[in-house]
Amino acid sequence: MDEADIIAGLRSGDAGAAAALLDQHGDRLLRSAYLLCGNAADAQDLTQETLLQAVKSAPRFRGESALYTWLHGILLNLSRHHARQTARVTVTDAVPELAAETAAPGAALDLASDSAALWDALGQLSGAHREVLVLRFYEELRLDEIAVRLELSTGTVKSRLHYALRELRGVMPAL
Amino acid sequence: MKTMNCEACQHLLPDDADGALGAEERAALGAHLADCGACREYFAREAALAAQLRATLRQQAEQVRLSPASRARLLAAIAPQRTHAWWHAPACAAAAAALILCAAHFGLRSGFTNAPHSSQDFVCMSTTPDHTVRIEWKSPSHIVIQRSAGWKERRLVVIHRNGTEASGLFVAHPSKSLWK
Repeated sequence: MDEADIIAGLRSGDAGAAAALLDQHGDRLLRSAYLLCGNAADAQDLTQETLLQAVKSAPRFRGESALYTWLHGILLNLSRHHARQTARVTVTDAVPELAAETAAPGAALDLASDSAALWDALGQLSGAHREVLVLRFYEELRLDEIAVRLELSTGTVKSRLHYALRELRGVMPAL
Repeated sequence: MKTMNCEACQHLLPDDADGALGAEERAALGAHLADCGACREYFAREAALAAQLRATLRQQAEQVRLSPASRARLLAAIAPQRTHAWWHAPACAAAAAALILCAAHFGLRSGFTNAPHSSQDFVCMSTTPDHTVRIEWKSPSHIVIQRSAGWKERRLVVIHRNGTEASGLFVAHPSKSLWK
């Protein structure tokens, strides 16, 4: 079932269209949601709410973007709403000063161990910074594409990306 | 060709990565990088971080996927014309002994666009094989929500059926005043 068929099916209440929507985009949305919120249970809730809104809003989808782009826009809005409602709690047993002493900036990184450390560091960023990094480095979007998704100017996206990387290096000085 | 300083050079890195530079800017950037070791080092460091971010995000993302149970639950949620007599399932026996958590007043809080008329108007999408929720309609302004023991962390999402389409979304969270 292609995208036009899915949208037409959703508009007419076709259960097969809902299944096709889920099969074609469910996993991808779930993964993006997980990267945005950092929590598997919340990611599943966000995915569910995204798909629900999509089903309800299908009559308003005008086909001006790819279906996934539209779905991801819904997910971003829900993710921000979720972040506003969720208290930011950072749990860490690493002392930043000690980390700075033991790892020189730019030092060679061991990918396996530092991947986990980098994931932890991403979890300590503000929602807006984490969001722009996910869009840039996971969704592989250009600056102008991120600007459209976030309804910002390209210059603001560029600036946000810069400060996001700076905040990340502040959390993890070895980067 | 215009000359470029380090600040301007480094500012153009994301645009260069996007292939968004014009011929003149690209030539000026190349000329500056050819002469400036500090900027070459900056570009290399940023490229290494970008590569590590890509690898980490991809690795993390690959760890999550929809299980068959999750898929079935999601499908039930987004295809509301299907019938779910979920409270008749054996797993829901536990819910019978569950604590009555709240008596929520519908209308302004619930976000439903149509007043519910019976228990059949609802379907809960937050159940799992281990944890169940039962929703009992008492009156248009009184609904009892029960959950099985141990069901503490997940948010409760309930939709109101209205023909083939969910007409409202009801999200309750323990931190909200909805929980009495």
